[in-house]
Amino acid sequence: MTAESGAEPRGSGGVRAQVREFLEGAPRGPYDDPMHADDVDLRSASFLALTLTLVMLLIGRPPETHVLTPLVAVVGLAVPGLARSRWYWLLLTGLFAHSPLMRPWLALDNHHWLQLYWFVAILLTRFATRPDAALRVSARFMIGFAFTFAVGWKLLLPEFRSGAFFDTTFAADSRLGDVASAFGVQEPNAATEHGRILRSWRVPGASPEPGVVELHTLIERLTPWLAWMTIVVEATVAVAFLAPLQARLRWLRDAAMLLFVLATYPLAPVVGFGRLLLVMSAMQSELRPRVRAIVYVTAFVAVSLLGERDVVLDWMRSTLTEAG
Amino acid sequence: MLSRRDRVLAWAMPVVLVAVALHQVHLAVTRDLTPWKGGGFGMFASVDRSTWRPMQGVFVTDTGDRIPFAVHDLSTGSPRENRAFVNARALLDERRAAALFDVVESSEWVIAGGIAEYEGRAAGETPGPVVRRGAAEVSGDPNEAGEPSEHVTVTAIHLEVWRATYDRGTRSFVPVSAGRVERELGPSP
Repeated sequence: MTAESGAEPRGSGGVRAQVREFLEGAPRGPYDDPMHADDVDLRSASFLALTLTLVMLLIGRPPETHVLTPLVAVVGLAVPGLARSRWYWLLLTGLFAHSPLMRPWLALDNHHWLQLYWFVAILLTRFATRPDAALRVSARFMIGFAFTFAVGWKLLLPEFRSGAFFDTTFAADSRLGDVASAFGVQEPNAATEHGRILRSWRVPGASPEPGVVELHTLIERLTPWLAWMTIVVEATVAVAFLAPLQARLRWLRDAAMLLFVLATYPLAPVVGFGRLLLVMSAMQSELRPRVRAIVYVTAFVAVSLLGERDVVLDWMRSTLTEAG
Repeated sequence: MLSRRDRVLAWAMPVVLVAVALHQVHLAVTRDLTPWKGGGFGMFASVDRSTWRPMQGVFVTDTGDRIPFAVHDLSTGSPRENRAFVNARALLDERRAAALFDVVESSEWVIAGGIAEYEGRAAGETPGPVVRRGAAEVSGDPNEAGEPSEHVTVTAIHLEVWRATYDRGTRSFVPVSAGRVERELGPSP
């Protein structure tokens, strides 16, 4: 690791210097901070993150991307060095932003917002004198703040803490309902059936009335635990990414993100969000380049395969049915 | 160390993220915005999902009749109609309600089976929604086909949006009103 000329000497101290270091994600300590990391490390993190970003665009589903986006992504992957060009990212960000900006503001999901922020962050940091170092800071703090708000909401709402949110999600959201039915604790079409209650409220002229759902007691016992486990895992990510960790502990950020991805996406396969978080986390990662590439590419592929989760669930369901 | 310019570029989007999220939390707490929308990272935390919110709309006629209309059908209309419906369902404040009223007013509705169904954007610039009774509705014969003819004069439009809650004790989805608005329409010229 090499220190750049012009860096403040260690121990020059002062609150102002410490605040500045925090803002750069570079606390003082016995280890080199990321802003002093050599360019090889930063360039390899940036290469990995930008490449996976382009792959993400390439395999993204059409409603979420402009029709030309995959084509531009292919060109970026094929032409060496193009993915480091600010003008390339200006084009790509413009194309990418087209879809979310054309949709109603209140139709956008969390990952649409974060994707938009990520593309603009890549674009803006291409104009920095140290683009990769600046993007590393953006990636780390965007993840940290996003998880802080996610945890804040979950702590704020009693319906989440009590497990009621997960009760309703098992009952009427097929993403979790299918998992419950694959394990034999819910009827296969329960989510669709319970969804009728909610759809009946929309019938013109109807006066919405309460509707009872059938939920296995095992699910009801499990959901408060599931809720608190989610809070703990997401809080771990938030703290790991926002805390000024010493260099020898920064692998905890990668571990926290992988824990979150492993704990969340097999149950709720929001594949696009999972891939985006991994891409951003790869950018801030300070693992050794080879380890980083293996870990994040493997996780990226695994999350992408979760899109085909239904095949496994169908197999489990039929096996359970045959076993009586 | 990053230069001042680099620090600004690096921190721009994290700061935007925090600003948008704080605004979303404010709207959700003070104005019943669904936590699932608005960029505040409240998805998968609340039972109150945007897509689970039902909206009910009623035309009040000059004869005092109340005719429910299929307001959810607007989500399948043009981008403008879809935008007005989706935004108002997630946050029924004055501005979004006004946008939705404008869309309802500029649309054509045909009454069938006591419900006014969305037919598309009304041709011409008539004040108020174009609401007509279907042929079957006029003749009283449900098999009667043909062009809708009888015009209905609408004097007010009512909209109400509900949000889903869940009672663990009774294992029930329970609807709670999240806002109700109405627009009085002036007399036809």
